[in-house]
Amino acid sequence: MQTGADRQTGDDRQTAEDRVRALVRDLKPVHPIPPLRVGLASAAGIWLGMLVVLWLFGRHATRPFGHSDWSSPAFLSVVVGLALLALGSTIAALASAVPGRDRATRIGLGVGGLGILISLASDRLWISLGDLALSREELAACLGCLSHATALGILSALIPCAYVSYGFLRRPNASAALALVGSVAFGAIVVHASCLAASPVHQLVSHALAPVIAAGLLTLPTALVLRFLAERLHPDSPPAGSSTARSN
Amino acid sequence: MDERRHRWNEREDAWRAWMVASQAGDGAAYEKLLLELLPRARRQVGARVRDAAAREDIVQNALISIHRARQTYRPERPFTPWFNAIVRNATIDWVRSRARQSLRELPLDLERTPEPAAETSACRDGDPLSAELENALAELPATQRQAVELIHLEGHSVVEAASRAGVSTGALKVRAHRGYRALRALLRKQDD
Repeated sequence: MQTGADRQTGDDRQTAEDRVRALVRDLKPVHPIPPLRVGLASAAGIWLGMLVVLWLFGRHATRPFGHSDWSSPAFLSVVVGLALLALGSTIAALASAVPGRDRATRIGLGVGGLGILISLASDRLWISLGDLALSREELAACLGCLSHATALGILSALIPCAYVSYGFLRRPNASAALALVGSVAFGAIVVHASCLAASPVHQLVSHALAPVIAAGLLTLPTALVLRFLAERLHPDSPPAGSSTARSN
Repeated sequence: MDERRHRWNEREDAWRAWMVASQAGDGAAYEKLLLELLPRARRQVGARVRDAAAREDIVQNALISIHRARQTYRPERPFTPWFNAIVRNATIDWVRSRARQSLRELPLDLERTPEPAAETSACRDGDPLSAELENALAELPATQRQAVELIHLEGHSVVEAASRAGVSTGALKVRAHRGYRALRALLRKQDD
C-alpha cells in the first residue's frame, strides 16, 4: 500500500517541501509504541505463563530441583547460556524496531552472543564432540526436542513479533531472526530442563543449537508474517523494504 | 556556551512537543516540525553524500521514514537521537540500494560492446551506421529497437529514454538489455 506521498513517478520530481505537504495530508493519529521494557516484560510474562502451564499440565515434567543435573556445570551452562540468548536476542529484536535504540540492540546482541558461547562452551559438550554419530533413535529424539523447542518458541514469539510489526520494520529478516532465536532459546530451556537424554550430541544439536537451527529454517516465513502484520497495523505505510523514494 | 545550550534545549523541547502533537494527528505541528527538520537533514546527509540530487533523494526517503516510524517516538525520550538515527539509516539504505543497483546494471554496461559504441560515435558525428548494424537493428522487435536507439544511438539517459518511450526506467533497461543481447547475436551470425 502506498502513501499519498509515495504516488510519484520518476518524471514528476517533487521537492522535499512538496513531500512534507503530501505527508501532512496523509497524517493520521497513532499510539506511541510501548517502551522497550514493557515489550520485554510482556514477552517474559508469556514465557512465565507458559512455564506455569507446562509445569501444571505438561506431559514431560521438568527435573525436580533436587536432581543431580542441576548441580552439573555442563547442564547449568546450557541453561544459563540459553537464558542469556533468549534475553539478549529478544531485547535486540524489540530494539531493532525503534530508531535510535542502536545501543540497546548492540547490548542485546552482545548478551545473546555471550549466551550462545556459554551454552556451546559447556565442558561436557566439547569433550564429547568426537562422538558425533547418531543412531536412528537418537536422531528421532533430536528432531522431537527440536520441534518441541520450536513450537514453544513460536508461541512465545507472538509478543516480540507484534511489537516489531507495530514499530518501524526496517530489516524484516534480521528482526524475524532475532525474535525467533530469542523465543526458541526460551523453548530450548524448557526442553533442556525436561529432556532426560544424556547424549552430549543430542544436547548440543537439539538443545543448545535449537534456536540457531529454528531461526535458519523459519526466518523467511516469519519475516513475511512481520511484513503482513506491519501492513495491517499501519494502513498508511508501504510494505517494509520497498523503495519509498522516487527513482532516478 | 550556556546560551547555546539553552537554545538547543528549547529547540529540542519544541520538536518533542510538535512530535507528540503530530502523533495525536495535529497536521500544523507536523508540518512545522518537518519543515524545521529539513535543513538539518540536508546538512546531515550532505556530510556523507556530495551529489545534490542524491542528497535530495535521501532527505525525502528520511521524511517518509519519519512518517512511517512516527509511532516509535516515545515522548519521554530525546527527539534528536531518534531523528538522527532515521536520517542515518536512510543514508545507509540509499548507499546500499545504489550499490545493489550498480551491480544489477553491470551486465547492461558490459553489453555496450566496442562495436556498437564505435557506431554510436560515428552516428553522432553524422556518419551513417554500417549496413550490418542497420540490418541487425531492423530485425529487432520494435520495442527493443526503440530502447537501443534511444539510449545507444541518440545518447539519451535512461530516464529521458524511458520518458520518451512512455515506460518505466526498469522496463526500458530490460528492453535495452534484451536488445543488446539480440543485436550481438545477430552481428555474430552475420560475421560467421
